[in-house]
Amino acid sequence: MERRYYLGEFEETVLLVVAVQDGEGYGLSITKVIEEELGRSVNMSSVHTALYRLEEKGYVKSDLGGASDRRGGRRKRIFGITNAGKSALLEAKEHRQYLWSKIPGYLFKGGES
Amino acid sequence: MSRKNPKPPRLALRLFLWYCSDPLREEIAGDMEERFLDHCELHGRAVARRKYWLNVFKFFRWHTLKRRSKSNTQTNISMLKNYFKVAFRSALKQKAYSFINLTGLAVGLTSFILILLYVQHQLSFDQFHEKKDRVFRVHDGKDAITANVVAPFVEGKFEEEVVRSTRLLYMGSQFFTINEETYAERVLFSDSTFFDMFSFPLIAGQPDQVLTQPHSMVISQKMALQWFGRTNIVGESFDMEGDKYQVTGVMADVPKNSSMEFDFVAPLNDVSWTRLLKWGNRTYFTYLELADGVDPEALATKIVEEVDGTFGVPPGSQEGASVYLQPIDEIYLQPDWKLAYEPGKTGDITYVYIFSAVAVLILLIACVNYVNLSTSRSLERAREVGIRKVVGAYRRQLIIQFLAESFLFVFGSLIASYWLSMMLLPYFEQLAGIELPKTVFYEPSLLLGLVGLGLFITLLAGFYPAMVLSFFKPVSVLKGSFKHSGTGSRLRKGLVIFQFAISSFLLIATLVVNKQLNFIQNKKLGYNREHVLAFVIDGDLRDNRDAFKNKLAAMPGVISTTFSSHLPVSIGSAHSIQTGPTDEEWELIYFMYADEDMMDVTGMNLKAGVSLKDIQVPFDELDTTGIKPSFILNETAARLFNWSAEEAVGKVVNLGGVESPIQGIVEDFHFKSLEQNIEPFVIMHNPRRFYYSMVKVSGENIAQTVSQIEATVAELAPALPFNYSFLDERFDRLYQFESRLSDVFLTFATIAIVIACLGMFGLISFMAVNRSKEFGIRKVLGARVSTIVFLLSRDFMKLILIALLVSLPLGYYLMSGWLQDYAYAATLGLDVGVLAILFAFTVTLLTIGYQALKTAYVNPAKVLRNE
Repeated sequence: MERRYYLGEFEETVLLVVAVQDGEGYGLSITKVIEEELGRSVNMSSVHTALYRLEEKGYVKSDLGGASDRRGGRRKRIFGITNAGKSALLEAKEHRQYLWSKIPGYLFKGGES
Repeated sequence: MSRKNPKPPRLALRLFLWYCSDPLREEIAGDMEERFLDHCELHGRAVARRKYWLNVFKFFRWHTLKRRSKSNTQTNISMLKNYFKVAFRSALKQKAYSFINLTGLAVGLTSFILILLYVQHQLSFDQFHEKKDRVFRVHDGKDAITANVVAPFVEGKFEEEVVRSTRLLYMGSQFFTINEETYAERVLFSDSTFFDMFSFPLIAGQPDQVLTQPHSMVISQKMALQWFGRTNIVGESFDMEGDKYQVTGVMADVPKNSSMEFDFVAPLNDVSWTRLLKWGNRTYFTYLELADGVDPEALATKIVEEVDGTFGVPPGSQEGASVYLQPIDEIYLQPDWKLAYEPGKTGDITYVYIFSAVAVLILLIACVNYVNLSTSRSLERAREVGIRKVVGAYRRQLIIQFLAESFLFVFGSLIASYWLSMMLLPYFEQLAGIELPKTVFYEPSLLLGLVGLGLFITLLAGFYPAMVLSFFKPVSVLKGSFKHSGTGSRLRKGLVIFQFAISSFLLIATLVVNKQLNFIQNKKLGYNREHVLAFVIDGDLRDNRDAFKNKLAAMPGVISTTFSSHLPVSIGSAHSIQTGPTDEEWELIYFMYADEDMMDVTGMNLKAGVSLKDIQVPFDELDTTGIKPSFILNETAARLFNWSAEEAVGKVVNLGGVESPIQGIVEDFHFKSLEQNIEPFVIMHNPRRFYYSMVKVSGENIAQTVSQIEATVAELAPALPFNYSFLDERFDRLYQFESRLSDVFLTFATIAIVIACLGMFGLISFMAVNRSKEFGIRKVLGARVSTIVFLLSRDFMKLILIALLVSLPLGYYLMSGWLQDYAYAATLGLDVGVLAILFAFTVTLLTIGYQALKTAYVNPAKVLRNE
């Protein structure tokens, strides 16, 4: 099967959070969501790396903005999802749903969706 | 803003900003700082700081690192060519500077290379022995010699630990007769295990066989060629000291870096008086080869216990034996012990250190020169830097450019100095008193090391100028308002001080070494060494002693003649003298056998008692029954018993197992180097062991007297080659090391001073040009030549003064430490300091005088014309 979009597991998570915080998210805020809401310990630098890689792949776009005193007067890089990014997320979701639908029913009795 | 946020650690931030690439810096630093504040609120400052640091390290990733952009790398090769071209042109444009720079570096590097070779040579001594990790020499912490019983004793008691042992005995002037010719040569007598233990390869013969038969001998290749013209001489025989010896082996010549030197090895058992095992007579060198994994220190302790047990000495008592095992490859440099009675070549680890330090210092001076001259030249290069920057050069590129320039200079001078050191090697060998194989220059390790050294110096000397030159701001440079920064000139001044402190330190060292040398040579020795002719004798002359003496006494030029076993400058044998009630208390006492005229010839003074003139009873080691031999002790020996000279006469002492009353006391005289104290000494009579004759001649017509003596020798002992020397020459040879050291210091101090002066010359020229307008105006306003000369030299004099303030105390401190090694040392007076100061100022004046005068005499109109 030709792979049109490739997302690593961690990248997918980061991309999802970018989508969640569309137009608001930046390195630290995304890290915080992953840490606090998903309860997953993560390095800030890994999140940044993932973000830059996603940008290289064209799944996110970014812009500088929003300096604050808390940042020592430095601006943030704010990330937003691109159409390609949306497609990649959709595709990943579809693959997943397709596979979930193929799992024999008795495995998850009482049913998680 | 009212609320003050805590700040993240500054160093961490700086580290981050340093490594992080520009476009990412802001956002990541911002994120980190925000995170830091969060952590501060959650966990407190300390934890937050730690986490900040951690983050800084975690962000060290490929994508955050600074990278050169791809467009640059392509042009780099062609730019490099351009850098070299520009460097070459600017070097040609400034011929004087380039010359000074190149010379300074080349001279410094040449010194470095030569000293490196020397140090390498010194460290290579005795490293060729394959068993060097397992072969040890036994000594007692004071003397290198041991009794002949030690080796069999230890081997017998410690069969498991000791694989084999060897005893060595050096005997000077053994007479060989080959094809009617007589030669006097030094022979090494040794146990048959010699060639199994030491790595002296045999060309002919089996290592374990060659010394097993009595009257067998191993000859070096060199001597075989000299005497027989070929090396396959096994089975040939010749006469030595009246015995027929057969050649059983031929060995390759002993390497230059061997501390043992010999051309002949014969079985120790051939020497009859060595067969009787005794604890007393200590003349032998004992070597042990240990089994794998035996700890030499532990073994030495066990040997001490055994020896003490044998003599019934309670363990740990003062009288106990002292035994040390010295690794064979530490015999030459003696890092831990300074032993008396060393038979072969010895070096000194201290001098290896000193020379290495001198080499590094000279190299530093040369590098400092380069830094100084390059930065002072920066004014000329500033415009170039400005234009390059305007056209779009990065600072990094400029740094590379100037490093490339340094590279050119350093490798240019490196090649020159490689060639120079090859040319100068023979002179250096003479200076340092060593011989190096010519192949050392082609060793790959040396070549590789030199390339590495070149790169290192390029960085060391080129880095600072590159930083300075590439730092110029194009705007200020091109507007013409460019001035030298104050810090730059301060650094240059510091470097000049550094250079001169080193050079004047070397100067002080040279002066002190020289002074000590003069002191030694003029020191009263307790005997007279002027006009004393000395030469080796053979059996014929020994038998014709009286005839010889009578014939010489008839000559007008001869004052007195004597025969002896040693010369007062080369005494190396000792007996033991009992100092207490039991024979376990004894001291070593040096001895010399002589006849009645010895004290006249050498001018020794009898303090008490009677001399050999009146009574001479021979001392015979082989037959000690019923004789009362003559003992004439020196004052130091009498002091062993707390006797004054007068008290000592008539007291009975046990010396070498023979009891006899002391017949006389001779005034102390220096029979060893002045580095050592005078030790107990005894003069005895034993005509059978006379090996030398000394003749005191008058100062007039020496040549004629010598030829008369030679004719007499030829008549009485036709087989004896007459090779004479004068005692004072032999005495000076004792101090070859010091005189060499003095020469070496003088040479390298001169080199250091020359390089420093070169640098100073470059600097003063630069300063003169820089201030030419100022001096022009001063002259127009009426300043005299002397004022201008004074103004120019004042700054330098200040620097020299500071340098002297640093180096004088340091030099005095270090050199007084060196003098402490001598039992008899010159005093470190004020004259050394005064001389050093005078010399430093004179040299400075001479160096800058020309330039200062030139500047002062220049027509002011010339320098003020163009503005």
